[in-house]
Amino acid sequence: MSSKTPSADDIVRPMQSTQRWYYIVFGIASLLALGWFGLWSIQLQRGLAVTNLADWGSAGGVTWGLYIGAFIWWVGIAHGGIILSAAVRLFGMKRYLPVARLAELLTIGALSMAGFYIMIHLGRPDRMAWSVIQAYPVTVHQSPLVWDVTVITMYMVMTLTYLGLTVRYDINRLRDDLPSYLEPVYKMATLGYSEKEDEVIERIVWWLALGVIVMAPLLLHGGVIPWLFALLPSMPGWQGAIQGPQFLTIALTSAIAGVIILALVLRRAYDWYHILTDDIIRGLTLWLGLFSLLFIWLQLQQVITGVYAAPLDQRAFAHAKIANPYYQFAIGVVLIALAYIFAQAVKPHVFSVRRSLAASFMVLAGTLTEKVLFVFEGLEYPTFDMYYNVPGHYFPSPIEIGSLVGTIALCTLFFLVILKVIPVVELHAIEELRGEGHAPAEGDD
Amino acid sequence: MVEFDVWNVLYPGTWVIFGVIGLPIYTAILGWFLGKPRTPKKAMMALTYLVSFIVSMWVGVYILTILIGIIFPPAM
Repeated sequence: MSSKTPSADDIVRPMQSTQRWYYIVFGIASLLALGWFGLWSIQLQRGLAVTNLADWGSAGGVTWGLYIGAFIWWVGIAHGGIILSAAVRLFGMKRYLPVARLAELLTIGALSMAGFYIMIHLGRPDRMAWSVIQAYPVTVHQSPLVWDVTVITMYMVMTLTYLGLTVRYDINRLRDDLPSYLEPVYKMATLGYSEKEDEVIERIVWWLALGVIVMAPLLLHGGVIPWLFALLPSMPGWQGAIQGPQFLTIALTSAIAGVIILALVLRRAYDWYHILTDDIIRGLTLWLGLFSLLFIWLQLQQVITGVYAAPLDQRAFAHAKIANPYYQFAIGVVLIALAYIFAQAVKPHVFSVRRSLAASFMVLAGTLTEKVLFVFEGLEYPTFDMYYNVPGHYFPSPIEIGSLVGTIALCTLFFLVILKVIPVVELHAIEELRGEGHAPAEGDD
Repeated sequence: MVEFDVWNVLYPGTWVIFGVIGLPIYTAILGWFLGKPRTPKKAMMALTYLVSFIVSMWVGVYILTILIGIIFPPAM
C-alpha cells in the first residue's frame, strides 16, 4: 500500500493531463459504439425481425429476450452506486467515501443504458413519444410497464440532483485547477453558491439519500421491476413474491461488482492506490460475498420449491431451468466467486485485488446470464403450453448480442468524458483521508 | 342499480405509484422545507434541480425519438 498523502491535486489530475491509454480506450470504445449504432440502424430500418425475438408460441419464439434481460442487468448495476453513496451519508460508512461519487456516476451511466434498452426494445423509438409520454396520464393507472418508467425516472432525477448538489462544494474549491474551457459549465453548476450553504446542502442531500435508500432497493429493483414479471399469473417461472428479493440480490451483487471494477481500473490509471485503497476493495469484496450468498440462497429456494412436488407448470419450468447449461454457468461462476470471498475472509492472505477483480467479472457475467435466461425461459414455459409442439428456441441474434457490446462501450465513453469534467472522487474524501474531517455523515448520525 | 366499486375509480397504479412509491420522494422534499437546518431558498433550488432534470430528460427523449422516427420511417 502506498504511503503517499492524498491531496486535491490527485483528484484533478484526470482533468489536467491525458495519457496515451485514454486515447486508445476512447478510440476503441468509440469504434464499438459506432459499430453498435450501425447494427441498430439495421434494426430501425427492418424492424425487430432482425432479432431472434418472435411471436410468442405460434412462431415458436419469445417476445422478450436479451434486450429485457440486459435492461434488468443495467438497472441492477445502477443500484450500487447511489445506494453506496447514500449509505456513506446515512450510516456514516466513511470508509467508502472515496468510491461514493464513482458509484453515483455508475448509477447515471448504467441507468442511461437501461433507459436506452427500453428504446431499443420498443422497435420503433418514436413509440416512446406516443405510447409512453403522450399516453402516460391514462396508462400509469394500470400498466406496470409505465410504473417502471415512472420509478426509473424518479431514481434517475434523484441521483442527478444528488450529484448536482454535492459537486457544488468541489467545483467551488477546485475551480482554479479545473479546465478553463469548461468555465461556463462550472459557473452554471455553482450558480448562487456561498460557503454558508454547505451545511444546508449537506442536510438536503441527507434527505435525498434517505429517499433513495428506501426507493431504489425496496420499490424499484425489489418492487416495480420484478412486478413486470411477477404479476403475470400464466408464467410460473416469473410469478411469486420471491422475485422481489431475488431481483434485489442481483442488483446489489452486480452493482458492487461494477464499483469494484471501476475503482480498480481508475486507481491503476491515475495512481490512486493511496485513495482507492486495498482496504476499500477488501470491504467491497466482503459485501459482494454477502449479496452473492443471498442470491444463491434465493435461487436455492426457487429450485427446491420448483422440483419437489411442485404444481406441474412450476415443475416443468424448474427442471428446464436447472438442466440449462447457461444456468449452470451462471450459478457456477457466482459460486466460484463466493468460494474466493469466503476463503479470503477466513485467510486474509488469500485476498488480492486481481482475484477480487476476477470475482467481480464472474458475478457480472453470472447475473447477466441468469437474468436473460429468466426472461425468455419464463416465456418458453407457460402454464398453458398449447404451443408445445411448435418448433423453435430462442437464442439472441448477433444484433442483440451487439447491443451488449455497444452499451458497455457507451458507458465507458460516458466515464471517459466525465473524468474530464468533474472530480470523480469527492473532495470530502480527500479531506477525510488527510484527517481534516469534513465528512458529511458526521453531523447527521 | 349499478354497484359502486372503488377499484373501478382508484386503479392499482394510482395508489401504488402516487401513494406508495412516491413516499420516499415526498419525504425528501418535506425534509428539505421542514427539516433543520433549512433555508427555503436552497430547498427551492434543490426542487428546481429535480424538476429541471425531469423536464429536460423527457423533453429530450420526446424530441430525440421523434427525430429517429423521421430519419427511419416505418417500412411500408
